Amino acid sequence: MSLKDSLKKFWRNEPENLGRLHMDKTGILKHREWRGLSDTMYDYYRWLITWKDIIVMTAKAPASTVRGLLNYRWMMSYLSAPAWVDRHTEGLRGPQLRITHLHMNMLVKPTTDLINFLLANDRHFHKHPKWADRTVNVDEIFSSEFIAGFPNLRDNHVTTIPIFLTSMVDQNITPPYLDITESYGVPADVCPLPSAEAGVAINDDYPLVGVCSLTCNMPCDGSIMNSSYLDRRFNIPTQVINVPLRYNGEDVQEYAVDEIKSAIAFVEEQTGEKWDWDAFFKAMKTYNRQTEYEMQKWEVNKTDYPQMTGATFWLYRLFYFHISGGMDPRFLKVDKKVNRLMLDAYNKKTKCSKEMRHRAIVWSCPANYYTSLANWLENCWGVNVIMDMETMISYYMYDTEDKEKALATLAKTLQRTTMRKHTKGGYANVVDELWRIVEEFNADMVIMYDQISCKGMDGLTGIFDDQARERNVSFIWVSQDLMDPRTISRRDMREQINKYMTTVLQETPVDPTLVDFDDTLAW
Amino acid sequence: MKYFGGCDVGSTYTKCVILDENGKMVANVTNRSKINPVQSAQIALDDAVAQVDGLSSAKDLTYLVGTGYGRNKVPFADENISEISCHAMGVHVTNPEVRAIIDIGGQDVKGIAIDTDGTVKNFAMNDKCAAGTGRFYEAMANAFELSLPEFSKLSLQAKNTIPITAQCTVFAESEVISLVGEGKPMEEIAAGIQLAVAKRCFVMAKKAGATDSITLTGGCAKNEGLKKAIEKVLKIKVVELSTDPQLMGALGAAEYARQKGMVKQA
Amino acid sequence: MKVLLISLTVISAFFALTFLIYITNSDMKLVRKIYDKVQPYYDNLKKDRKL
Repeated sequence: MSLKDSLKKFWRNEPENLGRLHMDKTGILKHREWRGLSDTMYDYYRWLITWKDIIVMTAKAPASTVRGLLNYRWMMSYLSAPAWVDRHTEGLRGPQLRITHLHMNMLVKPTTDLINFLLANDRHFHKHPKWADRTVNVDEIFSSEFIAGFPNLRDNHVTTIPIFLTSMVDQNITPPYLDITESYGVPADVCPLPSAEAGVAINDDYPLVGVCSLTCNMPCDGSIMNSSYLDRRFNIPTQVINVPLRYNGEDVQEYAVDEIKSAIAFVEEQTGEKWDWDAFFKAMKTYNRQTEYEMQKWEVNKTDYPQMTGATFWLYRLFYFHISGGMDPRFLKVDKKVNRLMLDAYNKKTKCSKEMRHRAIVWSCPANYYTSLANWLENCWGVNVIMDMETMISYYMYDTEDKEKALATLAKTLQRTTMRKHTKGGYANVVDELWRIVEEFNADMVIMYDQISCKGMDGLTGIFDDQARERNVSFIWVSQDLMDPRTISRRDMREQINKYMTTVLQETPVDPTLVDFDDTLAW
Repeated sequence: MKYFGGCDVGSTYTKCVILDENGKMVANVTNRSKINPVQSAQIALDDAVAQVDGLSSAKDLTYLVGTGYGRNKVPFADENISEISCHAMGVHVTNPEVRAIIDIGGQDVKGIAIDTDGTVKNFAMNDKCAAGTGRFYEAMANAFELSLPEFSKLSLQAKNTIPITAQCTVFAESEVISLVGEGKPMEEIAAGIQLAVAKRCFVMAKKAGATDSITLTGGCAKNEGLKKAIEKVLKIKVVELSTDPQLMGALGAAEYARQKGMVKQA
Repeated sequence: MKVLLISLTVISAFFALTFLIYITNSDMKLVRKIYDKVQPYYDNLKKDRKL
């Protein structure tokens, strides 16, 4: 390499041979990428911030953190958070690197806060925790907008920190819990999501927090099974909110609002707190602002210069929707920064990746154990994931003056949360909606996840195939098992895509070193 | 004369085909695969080379393309191409009118839709379950205490079909043994087995959009009972190939080798 | 002046050390070693599995 080339690479190094950075099996980076001087310094700065957040979490409650580490297997996985960030920033440069880091940090920060909160109020460790009687447990698909009306209370998405989020950070956290559930007699073909969550309950690995619990008719029977395990483990009063499945029908909305009102009454009764409309409206104003920023991202992604590709699109969205609920001001600050970066890059017609060969929509639920698949798609095959099903959860704006209208929107929001929005409510929500999105976003490819443990969308398989052929859209089925990497590994998932790209599209990879590698033991 | 090789390392059988520069097949080999795929490829290649006067070793081949099941590749080949592409090309050079393939291998089933130039339009495969694959047939033939060729003809004598309800190879075997024990006609049980596999094949074919002008490849394509059952389910006649259907992968690989080798030489 | 020099030295040392850890990914390599070592501990941890 000449001196001129070396200096060029030192200053701005395009991503190449990324596969050579991974150690066999563990996927640990041999060294971090040299992204060019400016981008590397930025990435380094962000790495310091991630570690700062982890260290601050520990420093705030060292005894609780140590107890957590000693008692809960899932705690250890969170130490690999910097690696999780690395996987989602692999190959990124310029504005994409910055946007992704800002988003990822808004996953890390609230997570450290939540871990602190949970361990500080865990009845396993403390007799009279401060928030013991002021926390309402909820399902992971329950959105935090509800608790915004109770400013003196907090909600706890019971399964998120111990297992749901952990399984994204560390793919190998779920098998031990799945084994526990199966040893308890639950069949092995139950969806691994509720199965692993039930395993955590059986193993008493949930921090025991919460004075009462709100659960809902989850998208599947497996989750209902899990709810009963959680109920037995926590042993606190539980109210089931029945969320209508035919949510596009106006005739179910009155019922839906009644269920919200009954949930409010239940929480008031259990906690002694009263619903506060001022607090709710204040939070919803923030939520509305965040939703506006979100819509802008979608508009930019419809153009020839999308800027928000990859998994952090939907990861970030899930977090502010479910965890923040308009109450955490940090999300809005990040939205402003990201918006500025995004529009600046869009105006300059910045390419979002080294090569932009395909515009893809990701449909159906992604595998928790491979959240960074979209990054791999981009780096290996030049496929830009410009929209996905998980991002497209409720984008209703709240009326912040009329109480009945606000409650109606809250009810509609719950009906349109993660998973529920597209897998329930009928054919129009999962099939017609896909083609509408493909057209709106001018996509030429669909990455269609086939979660093999779920029957939810099975009946539509042939219909998807037929309609993809009619529309001449490259339709790539990617089988996966949601939270169990043993059934279909990350490598197997990549191989399915590789087969399609080489066989049907006859393309050569952007980065051949990424085509095939073994990361079975990776986090 | 230049020679071009194609080697297909399957889960059960390894096949090798050598073509001359005019595309004429001058050698072909079908061996039982060993546990070591590289060794399987080497042996098959050596056996094929031995059939050609103008060749003394595999190194004399102008170009060699490898293919295979899963990660079975031929590391010493000039290039490895996916087995799906190779099957499509193999069928295309044998009969360019064919537009779809149902490939039933030792451990997987594939539906492949072919374009007019022999490239793949779409495909679907089941490689997670042995039901309906060569392994399944071996288990069934064992249960009937027949050889595979004997078993494949058995269902042709059936007047009725006894449905096999078990989805899994293991449970299907149990079900078959129970039916035999009950004294049910063997040919009718065999017909039920063929129908069960044919339905699976139909699903793969439909998924790939492959329902016109279909042929069968892979070892199981020689199963006459299966062919008849597939025709019944698909309601169209399956196209007969003039070359051994089990060689299609290797033939396609050899054809790719020929095309690429001729370009390289030019 | 002396304070400035000491500060600069400390900052430079901090930068050099942390950057070295960052670029060599030593943090995650160390965490991996610890992670692998503690798995048997979690496997053998006695828990109340009665629901």
